Amino acid sequence: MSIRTQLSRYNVQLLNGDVKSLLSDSFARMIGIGVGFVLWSLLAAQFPRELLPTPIETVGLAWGLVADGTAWIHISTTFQSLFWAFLFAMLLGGTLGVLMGLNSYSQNFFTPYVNIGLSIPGLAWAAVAFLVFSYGSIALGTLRFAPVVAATLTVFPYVAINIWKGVENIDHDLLRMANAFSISRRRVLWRVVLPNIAPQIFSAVRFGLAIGWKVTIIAELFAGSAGVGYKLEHAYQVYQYEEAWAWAAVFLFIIILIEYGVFKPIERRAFDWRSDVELSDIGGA
Amino acid sequence: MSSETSQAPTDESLTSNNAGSIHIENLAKEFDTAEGHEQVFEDINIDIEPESFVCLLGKSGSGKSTMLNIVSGILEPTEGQVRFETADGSGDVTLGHVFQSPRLMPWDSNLQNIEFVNEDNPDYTEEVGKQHLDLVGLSDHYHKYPGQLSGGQRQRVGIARALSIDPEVLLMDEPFSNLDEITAEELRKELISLWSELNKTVFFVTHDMTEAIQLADRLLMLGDGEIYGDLEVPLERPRRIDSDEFLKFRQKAIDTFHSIDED
Repeated sequence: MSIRTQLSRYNVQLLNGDVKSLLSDSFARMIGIGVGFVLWSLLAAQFPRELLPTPIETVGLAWGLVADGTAWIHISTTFQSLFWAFLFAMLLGGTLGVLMGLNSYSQNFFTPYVNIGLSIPGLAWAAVAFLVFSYGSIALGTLRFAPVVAATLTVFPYVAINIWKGVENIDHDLLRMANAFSISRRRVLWRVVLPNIAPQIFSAVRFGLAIGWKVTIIAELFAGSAGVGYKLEHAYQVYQYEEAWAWAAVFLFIIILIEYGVFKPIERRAFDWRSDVELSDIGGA
Repeated sequence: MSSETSQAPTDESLTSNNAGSIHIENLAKEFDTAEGHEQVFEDINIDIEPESFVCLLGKSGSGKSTMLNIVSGILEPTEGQVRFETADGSGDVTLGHVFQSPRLMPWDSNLQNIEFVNEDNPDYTEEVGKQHLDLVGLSDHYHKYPGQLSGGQRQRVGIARALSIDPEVLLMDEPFSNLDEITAEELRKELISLWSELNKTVFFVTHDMTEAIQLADRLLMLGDGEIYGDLEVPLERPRRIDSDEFLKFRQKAIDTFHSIDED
């Protein structure tokens, strides 16, 4: 949503005397985070620092990991696994989703696989991948197969189901319009089909990354020799619980960075037309 | 009348193509159904002169839209053919389409919706798109999205889009049937004004007799798989729907329309 649009929304809210919702819009998130910090601090006060550090101590420890470069080494390992898992899941899930959306034969053929995939927890795939890939030691360079396979198998059904529904619900009137005006297939793909299924693609990407992160970390807990998951597990093994909290904080920071630094701006840009439409005053013949 | 409805003067540069004629020859269409074949119509022959305004009338399910879809090339006929003729004798026509619902892309601005159909038009510029939106009285709405417009305004964009490709023939499928009567009446007047200035051939499908008589030079009535009524409209323009001549002709057209029920 553009600043102009956001301001227009605030204007409308103010004109309607809706100050309460304006305040809750702006502050609810911050209050929520603040309450979380207070509760964490109160809880931390009941335990030894080595077991549960306060939020400020945790941020300090996390900064230490970032400052001495340790965090980057392991984050890059996790990122590498996630990148490949996400790519494979998007390719596999996207292809199945398009096929399922286009014809009922493919839909009937692939539905059991997607349903089974949705019902198997990531933890199970992580354990299976750990066993199959010889305790995680099979690797291509620095890339460990077990986290990639576990995350790919967990994520692809979510991608497939989103893309399937997107393709299935394409506005056929628009396709007929494009056909009537003899528009080329490439132009139809870019200007009609992709914008039409953009919300589902976006949802698939978001879901895919969110689940992919978790499963990659879990697989690294089982089968890693590097990565954020491996470091978390290692910290617990050597009773350095405060370091485990610090790794969790680093991980949380990256997720927030991706959400607000990548997803939100793309979402605002891609769906700006929706908010403009919501704010408009429709009238006239 | 709102500012959107006041019509901009027609720029001659907006129309370079002459109107084309339509020749429907021995046309037949049947669909495969669970029970076998369903014959929609057969042996249809119609000649539509350049720059004429022809309305095709028929009851629901009579095959009006099927015929329009065959004329527009979206559907293949089972038999027969549709031929077009242009002033240069090439027969290679550009067809403009206006649909029952405007079929605009909600994520594109009005201007982008017009640009979309001008893929193969080397002369298209943003200025041309704006001129066409001016033409339908939407000067203040170039960059708005269709969702920010009323139903009538959206249909205006649909008309501007169809005209922007400078078609020799304009095919319109009940374009005003989803609008309220006041808006539809306004758009009918504007369509007639545009048609008389741009000199396009218009093939218009409707089930509304009053609308057809208001707009057309000629009424064709489709039913029982054939064209059973073909009436020239002898009324001067502009036409007042409450004038004696209009009402008298309307009664005659309605009698013809229902004559199929008596057979």
